[in-house]
Amino acid sequence: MIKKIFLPTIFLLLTYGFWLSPDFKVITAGVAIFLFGMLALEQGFNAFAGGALERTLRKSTNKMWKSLTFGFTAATVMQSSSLVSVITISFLSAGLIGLVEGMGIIFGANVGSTTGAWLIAGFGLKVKISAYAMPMLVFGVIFIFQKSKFLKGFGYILTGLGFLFLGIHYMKEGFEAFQNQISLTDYAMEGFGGVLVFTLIGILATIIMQSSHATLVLVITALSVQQVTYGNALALVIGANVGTTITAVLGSLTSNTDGKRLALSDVLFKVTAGIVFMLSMNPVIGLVDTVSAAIGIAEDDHTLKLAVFHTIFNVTGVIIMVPFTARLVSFLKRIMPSQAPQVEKARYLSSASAEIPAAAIEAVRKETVRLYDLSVDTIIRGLSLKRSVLAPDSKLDDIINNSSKTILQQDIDDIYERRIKSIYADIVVFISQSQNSMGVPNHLDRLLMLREVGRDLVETIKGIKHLQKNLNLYTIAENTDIRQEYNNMRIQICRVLQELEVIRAGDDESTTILSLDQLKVEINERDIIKTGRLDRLIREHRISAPMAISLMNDSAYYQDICRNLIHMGGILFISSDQDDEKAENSVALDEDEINEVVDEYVEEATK
Amino acid sequence: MNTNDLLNTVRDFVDTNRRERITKHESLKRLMKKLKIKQNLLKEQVKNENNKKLRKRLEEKIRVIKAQRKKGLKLLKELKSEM
Repeated sequence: MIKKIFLPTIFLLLTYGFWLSPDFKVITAGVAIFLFGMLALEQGFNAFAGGALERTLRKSTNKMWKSLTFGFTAATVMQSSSLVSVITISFLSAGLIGLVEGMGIIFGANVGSTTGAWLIAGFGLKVKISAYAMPMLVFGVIFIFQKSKFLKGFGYILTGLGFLFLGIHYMKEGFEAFQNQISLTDYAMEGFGGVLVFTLIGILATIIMQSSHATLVLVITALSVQQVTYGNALALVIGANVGTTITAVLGSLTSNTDGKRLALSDVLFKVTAGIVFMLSMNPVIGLVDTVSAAIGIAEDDHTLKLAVFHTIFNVTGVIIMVPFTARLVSFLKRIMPSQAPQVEKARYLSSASAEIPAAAIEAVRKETVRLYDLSVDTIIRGLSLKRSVLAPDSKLDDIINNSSKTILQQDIDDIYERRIKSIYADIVVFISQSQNSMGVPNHLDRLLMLREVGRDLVETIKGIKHLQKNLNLYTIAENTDIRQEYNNMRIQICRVLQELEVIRAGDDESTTILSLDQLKVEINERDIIKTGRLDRLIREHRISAPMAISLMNDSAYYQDICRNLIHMGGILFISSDQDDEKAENSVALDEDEINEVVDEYVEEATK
Repeated sequence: MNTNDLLNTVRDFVDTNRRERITKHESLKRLMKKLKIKQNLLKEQVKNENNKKLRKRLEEKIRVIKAQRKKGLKLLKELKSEM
């Protein structure tokens, strides 16, 4: 219920916000562009997974000091720890690095970003990498249009970075209305209260301006005109450091659990260092004075002292956090457990039944029937139909030929991974484990045959996946001939399933696995190539050449699907009476006999 | 029961191969009967079916059952000669 109303509520709230404030519109658009940038960045890095970039990253981050150096260098070059953080999150999401390595990079980047404070304080210099956003987007898109996987990936990275900057730019623009309302003198306060209030202001200002550097410029300016006291300015720097983590948090929204853990570790780094510095402000001021005096900074040069403070803050953060990295990782894993995909597990296979042959066979049979049921659901939906079409009395020709709508498509790969493969894997393992306890060869044969059923079902699902693309295209095509051919494939697959359902129910005593021979004959008789129907359709220009190729390929898939299902049904739904089973198997037609029946039919038809 | 019949019953019981063949023969015979019934049922359905397509399918089914019965009857004959 909550899930259902969540999305509409968000849309309503956003729409109301857009109507209420144009600034809100700009800010949210900025966030959206930023997140889109993160997605593009992640896709770009995915192209390099397993390649040179991954090897280089692994080599340069395989030890904590290497990760720290990597982060420090990257942030010094880019002049933005936030950017390094979001890129690290996308590295992590693409599986290029691990959580510990990511933490090292981010901690290093925090120290690296302090070089910016030195540049600002020392030379009044501000490196503005965001100026490259537009060219990045343009070059990025050109690269995306290239065929090479790596150029494409590089294009996504450039575009992603471009969008990140553009998003930050819009967020800043949106917040500009609030920016002018920050007047530091209004809050001038002494003591711990002052530290607390100015830290909060620093956090707020950094979130609004989306840059700790911008806050630092503000602080230095305010300090130079004595709008704030030196102590309050230091608290503002603490706030700026904490506030800058918002970009990483924002960036982690589109990432996997590891990315979120990394963003949280950045927040913990800054908050821990922040709390330590807030609580020990006086000793810290003393330390800053000592260090400043040691490196020759004048007593009243508060701007450079601010840079010293900024550096000490982040270096202390690293000193505090690095020894606890392993504990921090386990803590993060505990509070943010990985969300394992919902994987279907076996229900009937227990280790106890593996020891008793009859129980093991029955358990595998039940599980295989379950696998069959899940597979039938997938097949039917893959054919854009509902399971009710398989009712014994349903007229398949009428239903399928008249159904023009496509049922919402499913991701067959995902279903295969989560539902089919997992159960089949359990069955295979169970059979391997119980093989030793099978005393009689018959029992082992039965088990191995049931394993074959699973393989047939897996092959069928794969066939449906191949078939699905053209099936969706041609079953709603204007060309009636191609539509009919694809509908025929759907009808025939359903006919096999319908027959299997009747055999499985066992209500009709006259329908046994021998009825499957009829289906084998039908599949051969209706072969589009053998019957010359395909040639006729091409000759009479009723279908185009690409349609003909699709038909040829797909008719092979469809035949394999039917054959796999028939083979599987012959094993899974065979009579429970062993004597009857033997009799049925001895009368069932082999391939030559099936061909004889088909030839007879063709002869009669040509007479 | 005369001596001959009694001897046959004892032989059926003692000879495992023969017993197996008899069981096989019996279940095959049962199956043949089932198939015959189904074939007749399908023939009836063909007579009453007006839809050309469906009639064709039913006729195909009959053809398959005939081939299966032919195979089964041959097997029955072989089993009987071995007994």
